[in-house]
Amino acid sequence: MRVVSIILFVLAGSSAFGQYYDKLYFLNWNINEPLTNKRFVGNTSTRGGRVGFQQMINENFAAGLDFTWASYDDYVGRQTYTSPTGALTTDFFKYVDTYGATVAASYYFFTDQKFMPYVGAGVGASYNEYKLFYNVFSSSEGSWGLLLRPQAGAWYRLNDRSSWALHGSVQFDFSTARNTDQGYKNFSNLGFQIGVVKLDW
Amino acid sequence: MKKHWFLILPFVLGACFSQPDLAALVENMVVQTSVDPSINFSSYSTYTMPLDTIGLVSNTSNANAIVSSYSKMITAEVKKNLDARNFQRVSLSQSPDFGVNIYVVNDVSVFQSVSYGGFGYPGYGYGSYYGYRGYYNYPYVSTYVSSQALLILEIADLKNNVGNNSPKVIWSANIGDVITSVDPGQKVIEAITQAFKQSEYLKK
Repeated sequence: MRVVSIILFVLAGSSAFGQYYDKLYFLNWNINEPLTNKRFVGNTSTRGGRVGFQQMINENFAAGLDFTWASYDDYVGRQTYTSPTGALTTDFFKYVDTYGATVAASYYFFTDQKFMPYVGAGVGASYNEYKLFYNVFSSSEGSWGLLLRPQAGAWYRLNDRSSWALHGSVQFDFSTARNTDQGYKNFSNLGFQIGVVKLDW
Repeated sequence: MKKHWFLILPFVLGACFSQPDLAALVENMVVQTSVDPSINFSSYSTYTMPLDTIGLVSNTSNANAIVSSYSKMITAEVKKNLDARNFQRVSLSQSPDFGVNIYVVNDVSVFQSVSYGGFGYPGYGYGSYYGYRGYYNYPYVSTYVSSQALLILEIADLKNNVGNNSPKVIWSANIGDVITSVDPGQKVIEAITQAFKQSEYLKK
């Protein structure tokens, strides 16, 4: 009887482990490489982040919401731009700040493993602000657009009982937030994220 | 919510979003020049220009001129550059070929547009509106500025202005901001020199 009890306890424990978490909270540092109109901003952005929440729908699928942001900057040193009818001498400080909110879904290849790779996609809205500064003069314009994001990543728990996991992912963002003044018909970037996942139930 | 405190962190970090450092931003003045490309300045020889006074257009001052060491410094630098281009300063009674207007637009909303892809002369005019355009390989930019000051240099065609009270401006330089600078005196001199440097056609 005691052996049966132990077996039942272990089985119950295994079952409970399968239901150990059903909510995931993400917090990530976001590193992004701009892919569109790199003449305006071409530098890799290390100022960005992402927070998100996903609910497990079944053992392999999760869906939820996330919010991302990044700030890109570039600098063009003082130089003279000429034309037959004039010239301009200045330096330029240029920025693109991007914000995105998406409904996202992920497919996990495994269930209840310490290492959990996944692929996913998100769709939502983005707001980009394109800014130019030279001396005390500035230009700033924001625009809204549709945001599409395929992504892939994985998280890893350091031990079986930890409710925290390390997370890494790669994503491609495509936003229709345009700014024709600065030469943007859209904005896209390749993003890399590292961070943590909090597992909850 | 208590156990999800970490979700707040990124919003705090997000407050670090970008603005350029002001000292770096105003280290050098913007210098923009425009010219009527149909003008051959080698056919001009003489000019007139007051040496102690520059004009002032301001929302915050009733004065319409600046008479100070600053104005003398500005006019002396302009004269030095024009003389170096072999133009000769004469009095107005000697029928100069062109006149030089120098004034500061201060605390007036300034509209500035820089057309990167095309070019056209703006509607020049004194007063609360000022516009200019330049060309270089960048997209179009519109800028609105207030509470700053621009130094404006203009060359007005007097030689071809017989019987006309509104001489045509055939060259202009807009320099700014002449207030917000670590060393506005020295920087404005450098900017005037730059205005002539980027106008090589402006010579006898």
